[in-house]
Amino acid sequence: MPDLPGARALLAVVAALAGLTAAGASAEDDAFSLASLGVKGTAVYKNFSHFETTRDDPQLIRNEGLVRLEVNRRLAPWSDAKVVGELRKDDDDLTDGVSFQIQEKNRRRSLLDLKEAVLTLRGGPLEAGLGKQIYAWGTADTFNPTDNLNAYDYLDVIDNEKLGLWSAALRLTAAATTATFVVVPAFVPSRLPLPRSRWTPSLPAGFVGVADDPEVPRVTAGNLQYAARVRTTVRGVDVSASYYDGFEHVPVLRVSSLAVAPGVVLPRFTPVYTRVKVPGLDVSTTYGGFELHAETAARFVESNGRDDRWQGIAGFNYTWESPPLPGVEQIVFLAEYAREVTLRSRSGSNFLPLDSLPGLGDLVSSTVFREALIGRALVKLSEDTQVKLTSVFDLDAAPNAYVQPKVTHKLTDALQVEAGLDLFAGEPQSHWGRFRHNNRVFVFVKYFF
Amino acid sequence: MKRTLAMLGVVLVVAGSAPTAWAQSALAIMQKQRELHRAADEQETLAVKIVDRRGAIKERRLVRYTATAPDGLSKVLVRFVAPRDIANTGLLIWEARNGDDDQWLYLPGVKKVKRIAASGKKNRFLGTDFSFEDLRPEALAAHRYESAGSEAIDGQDCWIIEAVPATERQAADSGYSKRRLWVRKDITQIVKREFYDAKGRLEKVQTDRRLVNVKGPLWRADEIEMHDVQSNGRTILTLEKRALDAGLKDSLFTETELAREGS
Repeated sequence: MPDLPGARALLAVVAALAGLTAAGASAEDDAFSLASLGVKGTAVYKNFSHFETTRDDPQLIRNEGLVRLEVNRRLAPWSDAKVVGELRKDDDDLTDGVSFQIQEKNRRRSLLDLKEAVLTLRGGPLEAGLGKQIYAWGTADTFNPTDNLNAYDYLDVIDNEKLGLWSAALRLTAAATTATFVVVPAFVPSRLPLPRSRWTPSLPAGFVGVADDPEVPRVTAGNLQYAARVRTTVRGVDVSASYYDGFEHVPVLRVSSLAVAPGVVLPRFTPVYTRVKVPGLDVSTTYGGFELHAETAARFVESNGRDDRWQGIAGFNYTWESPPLPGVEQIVFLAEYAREVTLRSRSGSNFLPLDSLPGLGDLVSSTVFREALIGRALVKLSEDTQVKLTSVFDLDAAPNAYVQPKVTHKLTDALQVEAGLDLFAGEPQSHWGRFRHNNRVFVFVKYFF
Repeated sequence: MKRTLAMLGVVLVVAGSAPTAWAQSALAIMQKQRELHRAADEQETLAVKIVDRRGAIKERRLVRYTATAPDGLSKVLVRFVAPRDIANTGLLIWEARNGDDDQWLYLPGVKKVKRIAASGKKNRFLGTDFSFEDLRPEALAAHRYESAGSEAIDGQDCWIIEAVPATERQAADSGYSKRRLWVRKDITQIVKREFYDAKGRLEKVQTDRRLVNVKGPLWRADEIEMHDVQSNGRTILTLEKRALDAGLKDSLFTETELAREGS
């Protein structure tokens, strides 16, 4: 059951949501709408109902409410501004107070948050974007090895989202070619599941050690991060080359020892962030009815890491219009194969990737795509109703998989309902099997205003 | 006898050459209509009303930008502005002379630009009765045109021209086995189109209404209706705003602009 303060706060969010949407509706009637002010809003209610509790997390049901407002303004023919703000609350303690940080290090979400805030300046073929931004690089659908700029909010591992990044981007466009250069002054780590979350594995019995707070790289000239991408189209093929010089957003562990008493030495684990250089390449083209894509990147460790890795993913999309199935208008298929190979491992290193932590192994792995097969079928029953079946099979260890069937129905253009299941299968020590206690039903209600 | 054979020969020659002459004439008409009604660039804001077979109505708004380069090839950017759930969804088309256009779709939910496969062009565009290929400029090199007579529409005499895909590849990529086009003779403007499916059955009828002379020889329809006669759905595009030759830059027709939200 939700705790009372949490429930009250959630009610407050929903009330605020209702007030805003009512204002939006009446405003539209008066031809003075939020949209006419350049304000767009989305209100979302999320419910997750799990079938089992876990050892550390007795809460079966989680409710979340959020209201997101987006303002776009043309300041001048050569300048735009975009601000996306969010009010958010849940009854599982994932939100905590209000904070606005350039370098977001809070383990929980802020009740009020600035998701994006971008000032765009244009002049000839040049465009500059300054502020808190979200980037999306790469051509693959499920996983993008070349998309390294933004950190993620993994408080719910499946219902994750990108975190905005304070950065400066410069784009140069000439005919079919666009070159982008990004500078990031402050590193932002991904937000990991909380220690007592159902997504965090329980420590093995008898495990004794010292766990430090993460060492988040400070904002210094030496910790500046850079990324560049050149994209062009040649004879029906989109090609991009990219480069990222920055930090991984999920930490590795530096292992050392700590003498706590004469003759008593404990292992000490300090989460640190690996500095990497990541050259990447992605392509996309069409062949007959298929859209084909491939994306690859190599991750070379600069510091605080052990393994140089190569990652690749390739796949296709295919749309089957009017299949001979009753009530089905269209099916969109996606299939992808992902692979990761260790290029070089520094065996003497005292840095451990999370998945190599003794006794925990895959239980804390952040690398699902070491070898995986991904399939998705989006079945459109009508303009308002569609069913999506997504499945990810981890082929790296004993068979284990994640499957998500989901139904989306539009009640009106403004009101949409989504419902589905998150299902995990496999051995308890496997990547997806470790979450087998997290099987659940979810329902989202979205209102656009 | 020799004279009779000679006459027969002349008739055969004339009869044999007639289809070619007709075909050239049909292509010439299509070339002329494209030349006459081509603006250097154009921006239109359109209200979209979708009526399904049960009579349920959905309304959308979109902006369409078109620019034609000196080589005659066009680039088109279509962006939905309403309702909120599909706002900022965009389509970018770069016309190719052989009809193998480049097409990209931007879906704001994933903030990603995706290339669309050739046969994806026959898919319907965001629930409307228009397919992706209906939104592209008429690809003269990708079709064979033949004259199919004349007919008056709303009191205006029209040529009827049949367009079929020029190659097997074009036929495979297109959703249509044939289109019939009605071109008004006085202004060389297409006012009606019939679309036939792969089995040769009439699938859709597009009717252009409220024609206006916007500039010099340029005519435009302020209302376009696409009627799917098989499903009995209709999509009606109604012009809200139009600007011609406003100097749209080539940089508008890029991935960067396609992915720009809120503009």
